[in-house]
Order: sequence, then structure tokens, then C-alpha cells
Amino acid sequence: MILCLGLAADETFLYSLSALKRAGIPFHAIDLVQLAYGGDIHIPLADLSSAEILLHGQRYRLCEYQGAWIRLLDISAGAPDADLEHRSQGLYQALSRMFSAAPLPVINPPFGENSNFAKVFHAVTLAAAGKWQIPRSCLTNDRHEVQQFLRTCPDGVIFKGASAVKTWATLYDRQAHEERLPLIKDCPVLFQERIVGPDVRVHAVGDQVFAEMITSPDLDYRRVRKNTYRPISLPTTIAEGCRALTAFCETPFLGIDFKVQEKTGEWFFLEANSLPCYQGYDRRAGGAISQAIIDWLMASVRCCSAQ
Amino acid sequence: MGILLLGQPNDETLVRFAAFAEKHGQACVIAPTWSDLNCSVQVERTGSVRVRLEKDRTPFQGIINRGVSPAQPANADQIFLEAESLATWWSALACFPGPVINRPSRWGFVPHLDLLTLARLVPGVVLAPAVLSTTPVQPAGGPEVNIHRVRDRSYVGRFSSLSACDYRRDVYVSTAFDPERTRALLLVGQSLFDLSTRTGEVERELSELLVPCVQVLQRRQATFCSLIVEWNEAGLRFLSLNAFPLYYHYQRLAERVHQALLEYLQS
Repeated sequence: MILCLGLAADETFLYSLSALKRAGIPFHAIDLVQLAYGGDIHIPLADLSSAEILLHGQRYRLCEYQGAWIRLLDISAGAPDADLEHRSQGLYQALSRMFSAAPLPVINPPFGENSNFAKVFHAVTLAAAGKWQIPRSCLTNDRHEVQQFLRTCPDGVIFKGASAVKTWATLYDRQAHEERLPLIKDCPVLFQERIVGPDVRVHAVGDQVFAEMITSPDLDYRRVRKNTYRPISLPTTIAEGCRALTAFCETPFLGIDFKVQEKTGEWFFLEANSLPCYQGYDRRAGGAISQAIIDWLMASVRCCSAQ
Repeated sequence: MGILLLGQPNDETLVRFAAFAEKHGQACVIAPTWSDLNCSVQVERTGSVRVRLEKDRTPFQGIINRGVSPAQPANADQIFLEAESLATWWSALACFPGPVINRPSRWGFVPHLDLLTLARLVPGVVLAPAVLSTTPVQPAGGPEVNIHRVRDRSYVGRFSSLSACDYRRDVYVSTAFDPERTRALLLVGQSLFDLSTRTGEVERELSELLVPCVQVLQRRQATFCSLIVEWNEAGLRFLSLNAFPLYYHYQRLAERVHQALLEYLQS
């Protein structure tokens, strides 16, 4: 039996439940919103196996599950009142702590990798673990520094947000943007050398990797629908780096993004996401990614049982 | 070169340290915003990083990280601004070439100190009886029970002195403990102080027992944190870890604590 926690309004969570159902794996699913409204938890720190989640008269005891597939999100910002906001924050932190130390296989332990809130540090740290190169970058609130950086990037510069808040990569255009540069004084911006070429999204599940090359008419492929997605085999060094990264991050399931420079064929690591929205990639791969997740959970279950 | 104290201007812990440091000839700047600072983090393809963090063209030599306390953002623009600001501090402080007290890491902007993580990483660590729950409870295992909120670690009170109407809808950690056995320890850089004793010295046996835990805390970049433990002939067990020690916790040993902080930042 697998325990699933997430948001009923999260398409990726629902897709994961469908995958379990298709595979005939029994599971219990708990919606975080319902838990915040009317549920309870009881988590003894010294004995996590006797932890319980109570909701609608049901008692979900951690010791009764062989694995957990969770997508914990902090939903407190959407709470209608302060009490629910506080309760949602508390539940998010308590469940994150529990699933990061729980004595069962978890996709993904919440505290494994948190650096995605700081894109530059994230890229530097994870690229070192994967032995990859990254695009030259300049995160600054100093317009003079930006102007110097622009001069060193012959293929142009893109700029985007430095945090986990979603922003579009935008090509720096001197005419349109130079007069706005003083505005960065109070809000630093991430500038990055432009890598001209396709994107690659890799989904790594333990030792397995699934990759698609994305060719887009737009600078940021997420902004348009007319992209071309093509499954590819990864160069050995990239595949090995992806496997190393899941171990380094103690996060068995990652969505990992690269750019491939067209004129040189060089690969550049961009970021890794421990809560990837993978369903589109999985559908095109015939369900191979979700099957790999299920295989990982079940193999880990067998491994834990054998011990 | 000065020391950057990242935190709020009314943070007494920072204010007291700044006064001590300045008395010893070390300039400090408490900086909650970007307004007077220049910050750049430049990264090469190889991953080599150059951080420039300065005020009035003067670079900082060391930093104390007490976190950034975002105001309650009123709209999406403010939420974005807070996130971008935090992300920049995170990258700059994590990659800063000089000493940083409580350096950000990939586990958190301030050191992520969780008893469950400590127990997972250090075999043999024993945790005091404690329960995370939506209603405070009374775990067996100690004559007293402290109640804290999980979301902000704020203290609610003793279980015995609270009634049900004191609890709002929230999530609590209820920790059983024995006041006779409790020791409050403070880790400052490489130094460990026992705040429960007059001299601040940690008994040798306790100090040796704590070595693996202190090593894990330091690997996780915790260089200014409090540890509450219970210790007697029955053994050692952990009650709490906190990366935001407050001045009044160590007031009696303030000179020595401030000196240890200053030495770490000037190293």
C-alpha cells in the first residue's frame, strides 16, 4: 500500500494517482486542503513508524504503508483566514519533517534539496555534483556590473528571476531595457549569457533517465505551444551526472534542465526540480516515467523488507 | 572592512554584538535592505564564483546571517520582490569567500536544524519524548511538557498551565522534559558554551558525547545555534535545536560569546 499526499487541485498529483491506479498498485490519497480544514496529525518524533494522519474518520498509520508518493506544497498563502493559514503552515512543516526522516521509501523527501529558491547557488552547487558546466551568470543590483557583463557575452544576454518564482527568460535588448537598468538597485536581477540552441529536459528516477530535446520558436519554450519534443539518448557523461545528482540531492525523482549550444554541441546545466510537472513528458513516453517511479517505490519496498 | 549583520535593526542580539565589536574597533553594518549595498554574484562556466558585497565601495570581511524577515506582502509584486531578495542574499552569502555565521546551504537559508534530521544523520542520538500534533498533548517521559508552535517555533506555555481555549487552530510540538536534567548549550563557531553553568564551561564527558552532533551541525553550516539537551547518568537526549539564539539566552556570558563570534568573523 502506498500513501499519497498532495493537492486535489494539482494536475501532476492527480496524474500520479492515475498512474498508480493503472499499474494496479493499491494506495490511499490525502488532499492537503481537506487535511488543513478538518484533519489531524499525531507524529511522535522518537517513533515515526507510529505516526498517524486522521481525516474524515479514517486513520492513516505510517507503519501500514510500504512507500509514500508525495507532492507537499505550502498552501498557506491561499488560506481564507489567519487560523487556516497558520494551520496549513504548521502542517506543511510537520509533514515535511516527518517524510524527510520517515522509515519508508519516499518520492521525494521534502528536505533533500531546497536550493532551488536561489537559482545561482543552486546551479553552482548541483553542477559541481553532476560535473557539468553552467552558463556564465551575473546576479546583481549594480547596473555598472551588468554593463560590463553584457560586453563579455557575444551571443547576447538573457535575464530572468533569481528565485523559485516563475519568470520568463527574456532577451536583453539595449534599446528596450537599458533605461530601466537603474531599477535593479532595489531588486537584483539574474543576467545570463545566451546559449543558442535547444533545451533538454531529463527526468531522472533513481538510476533511470528519460530525456527529450525541445526545439522552440521562442526563447523560453514554456511560453509557447508550437514546440517540437523528441526523445533522445543522453551522452554518457550527462546520464551519469543525472544519476549522481539524485544521490547527491537524496531526491530519487528529479526534472533536470539543460541547454545545448547549437554551434559547439556543449551541454549547460540550468536547474533541477524536485517537484517536476512531468505528466506531458510521461504521456509522450508512454508512461515510462511514472512506471519508473512505481518500480523505484516497489523495489525500495522489497529492499527495506529484506533488511 | 566591516562586518555585515543581516537582520532587523531591532534585533537585540545583533545590536548588542555590534556594540561589542565596535568597542573592539570592528565596524558593523546592520542591513535589512539593499538600499545602501552593492551586491554582485558572478559565475563562470566552470562554476567558479566571485561575490562582491559592499557598502560605499567598502567590501565586507564577514557576515552574520540572522535571516530576512519579510513584511506581510500585500500583493504579487511584493511577493516577487521578497523572493528575489531572499534568493540574492542566499546565493551571495552561500558563496561569500569570507567567514559567514550561519551560512546558507542547500538545505535552507538559515541552517536547517531539525531533530529528526540529526537523529537520522547521527546514529545513537536519542530524542526527548515529543509529538507534532494539531492539539497539544502530554507525552510520557518527563514531569513537565513545553508547548511550541511548529510554524515559527514560538513558545506557547507549559501544558499543565494551559487550557483548551488557549489553543487556536495550529500545529504544535509538545515536548516532555525534566527541568532538573536540562542543559542549554550554545555553539558559536568552534566554541561550545554551557549556558546552564556559572562559568560556561562544558563538562568534558558531555562535550565528548556531543562531538558527532556538533560535527553534523557544523557540516550543515550551523555556527551560531542553541542546543537544549537533557543529561545525567541515564544518558543524553535532545529537546531542541535553534539557529536563532537570542541575547537574553546568553546574557550572562555575553562577553565570551561575542568574543567567539568576533574571532570567527575575523578568522
